[in-house]
Amino acid sequence: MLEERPILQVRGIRKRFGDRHALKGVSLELYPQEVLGIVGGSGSGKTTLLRILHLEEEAEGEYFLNVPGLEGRNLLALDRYQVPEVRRWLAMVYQDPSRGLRMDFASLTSVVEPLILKGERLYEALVAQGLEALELADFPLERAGSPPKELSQGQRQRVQIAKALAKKPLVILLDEPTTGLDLLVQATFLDTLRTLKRRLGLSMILVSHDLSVIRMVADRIVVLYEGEVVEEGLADQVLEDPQHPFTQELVGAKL
Amino acid sequence: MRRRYSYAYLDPVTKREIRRKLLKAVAIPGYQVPFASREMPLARGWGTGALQITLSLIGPEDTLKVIDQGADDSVNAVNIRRFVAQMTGAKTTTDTLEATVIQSRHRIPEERLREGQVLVLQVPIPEPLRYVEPSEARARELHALGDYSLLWVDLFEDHLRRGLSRMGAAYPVLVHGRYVMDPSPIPRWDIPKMHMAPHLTLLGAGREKRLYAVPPYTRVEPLAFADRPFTREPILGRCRRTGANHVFLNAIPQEDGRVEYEISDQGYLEKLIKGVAPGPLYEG
Repeated sequence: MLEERPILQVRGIRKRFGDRHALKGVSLELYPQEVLGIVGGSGSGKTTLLRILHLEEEAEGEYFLNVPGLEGRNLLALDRYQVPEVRRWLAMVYQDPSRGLRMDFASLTSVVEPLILKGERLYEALVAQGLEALELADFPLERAGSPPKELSQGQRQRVQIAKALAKKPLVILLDEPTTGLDLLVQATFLDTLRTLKRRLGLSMILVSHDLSVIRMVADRIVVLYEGEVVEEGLADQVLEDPQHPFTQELVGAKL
Repeated sequence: MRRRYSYAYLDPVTKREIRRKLLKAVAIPGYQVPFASREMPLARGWGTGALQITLSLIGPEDTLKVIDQGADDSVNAVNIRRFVAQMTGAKTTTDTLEATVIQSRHRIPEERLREGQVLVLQVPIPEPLRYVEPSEARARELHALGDYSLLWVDLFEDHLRRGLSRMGAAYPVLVHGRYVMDPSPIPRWDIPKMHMAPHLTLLGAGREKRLYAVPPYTRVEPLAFADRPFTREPILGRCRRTGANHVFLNAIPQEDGRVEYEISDQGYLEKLIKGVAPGPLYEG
């Protein structure tokens, strides 16, 4: 896997909020069909990093992604009219579903929205692709017409996954997708993620504070601590033999 | 004609401004041009935008028809007609074919308008993106980018929930393949009349200070999925006075709970009742 060229690469990302340094030069790569887990405590800058990757936030540094037509261009230096073109190739799954979904519209509408943005203008094709994505996400299809506000938290996250799948992105970014779910729902949701990864060969970046979540899906782990990458390696390696004191604490604190 | 005001009520500078903005609007079909909407002797929201357009264009040689939901005799239509006649000396009429300028609220006449006629529509909300994008600044940007996907998402939701578009009036249309426009709250029945029409359509929103235009022979296409084509509303009954069911009808609720129907375009209805031959209609 490692001899391939990364599809996503960031170098020396710095971000400041006032005089607080949220990120102090973060570099990482994502390889095709790989799930990268980013772990860190609160305030470690992991969510900020993900927002920068989704181009929701400006930052210093370099960010490369294999977007057709923009290969080799630093995406952090794009003007705001080019950003939507890049976002087409990225999908984001938020911790809070109301940020990614239209809570009052039918779930299916949220799922097909990226397809409409891409220019699909056939109703039947939209419905078919939307339902296909919802099915892949193990969402009960008879509820496709219900708005997310009437769904359970776990189902909402599945709608978000379906929306991400419908988009057929290069990379799916997941921001604490299981936080707030009870343990059983969390387990089945992560199971779906794992199945999807195996079946479709998805490339994902998963951010979580919870090592047990990361361990279930991630191939590689990056540990963020106070805005810096303190440890990086294959998932098992990091979990079995943590080097940095913070990681050791994390692994030790796990139930 | 009383001479206590400038000709056509508005001062010359205002009329010139409106004419210039109208030229711009005609040059960029469907684009909303901001203008300095004046105080009128009529409340904003009652047709002041269209009234200013009418006043800045009309001359003593013109013949004016004013309709409100198809009716020539509603209070608002009568007031506007009388006011413009007093201020300009223009003739007035209720006959669509005779009029050179037609100011209208919520309808396009049934008889086909011809080259040289001007239709001025009153618009309450000129921004078609208003209900899908609350920010005016962002909406303008979306117009500039030609990005109307929010409207399509809305349309998809309508079809999914109801099997059709719920938009009964003010159905968004794409003008000349570029700008999406609010055609003013005309019923869906009237939308096809705008497509490649020989007459000039001007639209004015006085409260929102915007005017826009559809020049003659311009493509006006309602937004619709290719496999869910745009349809006009069905005609559900027959006119109680003429028996007609080939034009748009008003539903008139009766005391016993029934609904009776009557032709909405009053000028056309009167012609049918008098036995005068009406002009050609739009092709259905």
